[in-house]
Amino acid sequence: MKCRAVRAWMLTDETPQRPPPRLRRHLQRCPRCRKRYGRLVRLIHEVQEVPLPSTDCPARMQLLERLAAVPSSAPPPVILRPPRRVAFVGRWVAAAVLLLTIGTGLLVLNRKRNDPPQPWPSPAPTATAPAERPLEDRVLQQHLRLAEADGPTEQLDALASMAADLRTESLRAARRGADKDVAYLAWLHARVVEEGIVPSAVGLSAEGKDSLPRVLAQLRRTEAEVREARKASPKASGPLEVLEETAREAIRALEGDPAVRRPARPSEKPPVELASRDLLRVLVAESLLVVGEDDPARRAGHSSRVADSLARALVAKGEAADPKEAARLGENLSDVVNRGVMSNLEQVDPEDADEEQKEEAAQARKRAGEAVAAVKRNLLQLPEAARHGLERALENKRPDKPREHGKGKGKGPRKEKPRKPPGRPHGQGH
Amino acid sequence: MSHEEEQLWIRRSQAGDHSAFASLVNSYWPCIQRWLQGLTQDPQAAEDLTQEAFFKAWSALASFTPGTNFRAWLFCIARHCLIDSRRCARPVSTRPLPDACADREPGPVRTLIGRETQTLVQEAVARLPVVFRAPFLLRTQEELSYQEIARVLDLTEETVRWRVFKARKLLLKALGNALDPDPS
Repeated sequence: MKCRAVRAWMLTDETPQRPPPRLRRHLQRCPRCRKRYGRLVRLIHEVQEVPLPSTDCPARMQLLERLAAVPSSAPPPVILRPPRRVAFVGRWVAAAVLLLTIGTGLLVLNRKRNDPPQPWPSPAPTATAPAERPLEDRVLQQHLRLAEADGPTEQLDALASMAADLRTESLRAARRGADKDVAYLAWLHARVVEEGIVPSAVGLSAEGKDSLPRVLAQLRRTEAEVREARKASPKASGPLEVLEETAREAIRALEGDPAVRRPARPSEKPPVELASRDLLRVLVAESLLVVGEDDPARRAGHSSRVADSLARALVAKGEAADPKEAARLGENLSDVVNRGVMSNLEQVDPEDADEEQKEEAAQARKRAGEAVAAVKRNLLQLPEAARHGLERALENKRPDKPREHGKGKGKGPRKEKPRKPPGRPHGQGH
Repeated sequence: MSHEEEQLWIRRSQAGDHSAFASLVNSYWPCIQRWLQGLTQDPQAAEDLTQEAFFKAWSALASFTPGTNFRAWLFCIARHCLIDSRRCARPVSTRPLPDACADREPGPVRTLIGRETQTLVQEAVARLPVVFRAPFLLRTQEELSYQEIARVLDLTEETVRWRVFKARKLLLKALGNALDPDPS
């Protein structure tokens, strides 16, 4: 285990006081890490030792008096409890749901008995991506994981999650009958699998191969779910076929089938143009370029292009911006500036960097700064509620400002540099 | 307080039992106040906000789902109280250190050194930007999981992990060898 990986573990782990055996062994060997670890444990101990305030304070007594003023026989002053009428309606809703459940159960049992085709499986949300968040958010989180990854194994996990998110969304689009969307998402999925997952997995070290079964399981699930979906909806079968084919070819490549060492790369151009998916396209393309990129200045450059696209999406909303959506995009922008751009720029050593790296770093900083500035300039166009949420999300995000203690834009954990997988992904595709 | 006791008090509180809710207040008041004090750096404001948080919790008890994390739910309400108070732009007096540190009894040299370190640590924590301080204190002092913190602060788990990372890094840098073992 490398010192860099140990340090990143110390700073990110939920319970660094309990190091796993592999880490303990490193700490026994390495005096520098041991010293740093000792400081962290002391820091945690000192913070935990801050005494709890006494419960014997006037405010608590006042609270109890305020509560006592309400008659104890009465229910608490509930403001969220549904009124009687709603509760009455609720009973009917519950009864309807019960009947529906029983009916569906009987139907399923009956179908099983007659051995018909399986019902279309509902795509389950992935572990890393709650279903309620928009796809762009989930893919952005994987982009950030890639930008901060400890090494090729973690990058592979992030790519697998990204592919799973795209698969889930493709199946949803197919259920809606949105054929263009399915075709577009299947194309993005193919890019992630064939330009990201396969080359990364093939280039893994013997130790890193442990993660392959997880990736293969995801691909098999894609293949199976899409096969069922195609059976259930022949109309969406065409666009979905690409998804199934991609998964099947990738499985064969990863299982070492000599006939398929490397699946053919998908076209750089999408099968259809969908302006509504422009941000997603940039996210996927830049994420693929981050994979295996050793130069932090270039990684920052890729994330700064994502920041630029996010800012454009936000500005384009203008007066039509929904407050929640504006706050969400603002938080995404601040995340990508902090974790994708600034964290990587922190790793560029000005004394060691060559001219090209310095130029790349300056461009990334400038691009991210301009993205934030563009959003701030356009704040007045947004509805007041949207403005408020966005301002909060953007607080403390000024990449163009020099840093002070405690106000810096931090670098994410990057424990060991990922090795470049064989074969680089081609152009950005946008 | 055991988990079963807590569940019992919650159920009784939801049925309108003041004494059960008072038991919950007594159990959770200190940690909520400590967290708010860590964020506001103002003991008086933290006390007021804690009172407000518990009053709101009482009013909204019916919306709490039994079996879920009550402590995290309280922290979530406390956070909203803090946001509301800042929205009202009430001036908050800044005190460099919580009183708690000065209350400790004087002891031998070793204790004095230890207290000095704790003072330095508290000062460094107080200087952290609040976006890093809030999750760091929830993780370190209150031992909430990253998932629970994400719910309390309405962030993604990844963001919480990154902010805790950042807080630890800044603190280690700021405190440097002050955290090394005492020479004695």
